[in-house]
Amino acid sequence: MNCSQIKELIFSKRLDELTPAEKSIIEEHISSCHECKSIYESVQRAESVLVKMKIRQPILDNEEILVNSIMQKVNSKSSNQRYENEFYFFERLILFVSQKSVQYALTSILFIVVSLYMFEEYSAVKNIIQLESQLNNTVQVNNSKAEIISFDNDILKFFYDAYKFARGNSSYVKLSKDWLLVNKEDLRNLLLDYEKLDEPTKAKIKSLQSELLNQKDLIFSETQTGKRKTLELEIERLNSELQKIKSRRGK
Amino acid sequence: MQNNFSEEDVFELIEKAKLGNTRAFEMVVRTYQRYGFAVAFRILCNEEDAKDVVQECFIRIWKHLNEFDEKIKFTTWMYKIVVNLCFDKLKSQKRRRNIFKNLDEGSVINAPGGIDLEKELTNKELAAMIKHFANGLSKKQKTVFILRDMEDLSIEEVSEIMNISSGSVKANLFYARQSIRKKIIKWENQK
Repeated sequence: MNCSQIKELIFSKRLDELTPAEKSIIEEHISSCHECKSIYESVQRAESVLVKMKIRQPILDNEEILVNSIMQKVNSKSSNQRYENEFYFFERLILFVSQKSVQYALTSILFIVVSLYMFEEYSAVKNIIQLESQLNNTVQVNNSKAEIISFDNDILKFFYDAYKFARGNSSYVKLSKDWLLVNKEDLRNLLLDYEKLDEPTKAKIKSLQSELLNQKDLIFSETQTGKRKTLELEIERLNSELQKIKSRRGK
Repeated sequence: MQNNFSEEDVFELIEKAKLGNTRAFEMVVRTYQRYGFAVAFRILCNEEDAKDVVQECFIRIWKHLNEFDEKIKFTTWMYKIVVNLCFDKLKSQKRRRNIFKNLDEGSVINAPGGIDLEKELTNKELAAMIKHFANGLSKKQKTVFILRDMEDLSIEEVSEIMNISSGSVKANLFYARQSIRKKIIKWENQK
């Protein structure tokens, strides 16, 4: 190594960081180079001054006063901790939401929710359109004011019956395409609403509905034999049952 | 009460402090305040300012205990806060009074005289020596030197505290050591 390389080595590291190999290279060089030897010795002296400065830690007098002063402030902050924690929570929430990745995720979730809602709406509308088309296949069974509708779709039949109960009708309404168009919105809501009911309520409605379907045939036949009044009372009873379920659901 | 805790002990105390145990936090303060003070004093060369920094540092630690990352050493976190507070202080003092010319290149700080290194140094004498030897260094160079060569922290710790790369630490350290050694040699020769 030449002088400039030796000087660089001496200045690049702390002397106690030099490897044994580096030390022997320096020692070998300075044994024949007075200039580098002088520099090395100067650096050694400087290092010893630095070691002394390092050993002499600054004196922290009155440590107790500093501790007390810190703890006094800590204790006063501690009493406000609850408020600060809440603030901290909102601060973190805002920071969290402001992240790009979180914003993308939230947008995706929003898109999915809107899509599901649209799909649900579409299904309901589709059902109504289906119901409308089925109305065209209405079979006129007799010449009384009541009309029995033949539905291919049991679910739609059920909703039709459930709708009548929900409306508080004790006898069959005249069901026609015009009637359906007028009451479409209500029926649609009912279709949507039914899916939101809990399972026991759904089961109860289903049992009422099946009871009603049984009664329906009776209504028709009994009307012919003058026992309509009794059956109407029975339907009234079923209807009040449904009202109770409705009011419970409302709560 | 002046115990030196292991990292596990400190984590335990911090966990207790997180739950509002101020007594546990006081033990942390008692143990580490002098280390914070040593770094702050060497950077600021002023006892009162260093005490202010230590006080503010521990209040910040208390307020942000939940942010403590157990992957890093407590002292590294503490030094990071101390260094940032020192830099803030230097910046505001320089702006307000423009008296910290000792950190600017070209300013002249008289060589401390009558200092006997074989005896105990007062804070004033120590401050005078640091001011003189670090004169002309940037605050980054000076701080890197203090953390590595005075506090004996590893290059990685210094890098974490200063939020700079290891390469940058080494480059700043090289320049600082060269400059400080030259000043010490000159000072020695003048004695």
